[in-house]
Amino acid sequence: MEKKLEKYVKKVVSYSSEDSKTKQRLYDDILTQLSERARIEGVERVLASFGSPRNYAEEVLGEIVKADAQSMRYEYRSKIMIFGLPLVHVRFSSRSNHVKDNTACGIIAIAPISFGVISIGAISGGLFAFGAVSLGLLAFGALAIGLLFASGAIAIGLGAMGGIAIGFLARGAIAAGHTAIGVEGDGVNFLTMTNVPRENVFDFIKQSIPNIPDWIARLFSMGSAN
Amino acid sequence: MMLDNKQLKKGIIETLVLHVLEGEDHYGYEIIQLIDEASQSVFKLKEGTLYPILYRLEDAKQIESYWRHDQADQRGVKPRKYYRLLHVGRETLHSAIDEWTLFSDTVSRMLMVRGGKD
Repeated sequence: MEKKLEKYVKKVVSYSSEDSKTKQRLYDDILTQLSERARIEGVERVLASFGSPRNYAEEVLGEIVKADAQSMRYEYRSKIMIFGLPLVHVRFSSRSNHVKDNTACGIIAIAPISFGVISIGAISGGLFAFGAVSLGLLAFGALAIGLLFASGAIAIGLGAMGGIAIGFLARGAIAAGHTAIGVEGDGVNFLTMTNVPRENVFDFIKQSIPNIPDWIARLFSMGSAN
Repeated sequence: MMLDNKQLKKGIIETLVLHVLEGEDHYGYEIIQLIDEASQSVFKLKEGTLYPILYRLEDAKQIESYWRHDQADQRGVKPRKYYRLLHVGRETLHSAIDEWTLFSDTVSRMLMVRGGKD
């Protein structure tokens, strides 16, 4: 009979999106209460009086459930784990300012602060990072710092493209680096980009960095005049 | 008569919970029942109101929870989660009682006088 109560309470608590510590506290308190009532009235009668677990959660824990709904708290963590990380982890909380409540870690991570192979967030870090501030092997964002490549309003990386681009190979309105292409900027090799045909930009990159693969030179030539 | 003013209610419930625990340790549902009885149903709490208060008080180290196995239910019955008042909670309670006494005396005295003048 205890098992039946435990299962019921577990289900009730699952309707709350409180953190795991509070959920455990709720579970303990509700189970204590129902066990006590069941001791006097019997399990079946107690459970029947409360209806479904959802009913109980809405009726009796109404204020907690309501507060949760208003607080816009959301977390999804996929059951599939890879190298100890969830395949997908999404987390948002308007209630809490705690870093922990707004941080996601997973192969694919989406949160105000995210870390993962693919991470999307206001602050993101990972192999492929997308965000207002992103740091990664490949980074895209308002401020993007990429070990290999960065693209953004301000981009810093081995290869960088953006409004302001700083890198070994950089292209932007303002560009600085070993090989830089921009309206303004500086570099060991610098090409002032005002109506320069795409092919000329390609040739300039190939001459400055002879070993660079064609597809990278082409990528950095894109958007130029034909 | 039920007390509908939520703001008024909210301010005093923590004090009532501490007060109930000052006499004896209780589990959550007991606290609800005791407040209901003592207030003659003026304060009818739901678990959804009480539990967050208990957790807040516990986080503030004013109360603590523990598991207790009552003498009467030794046969396979699980222990219950009880709450007990701590020193900080006792001090908070006493200062809240002083504040409430001053507040209620003052408001009662003022309300007895029409237009706020003697």
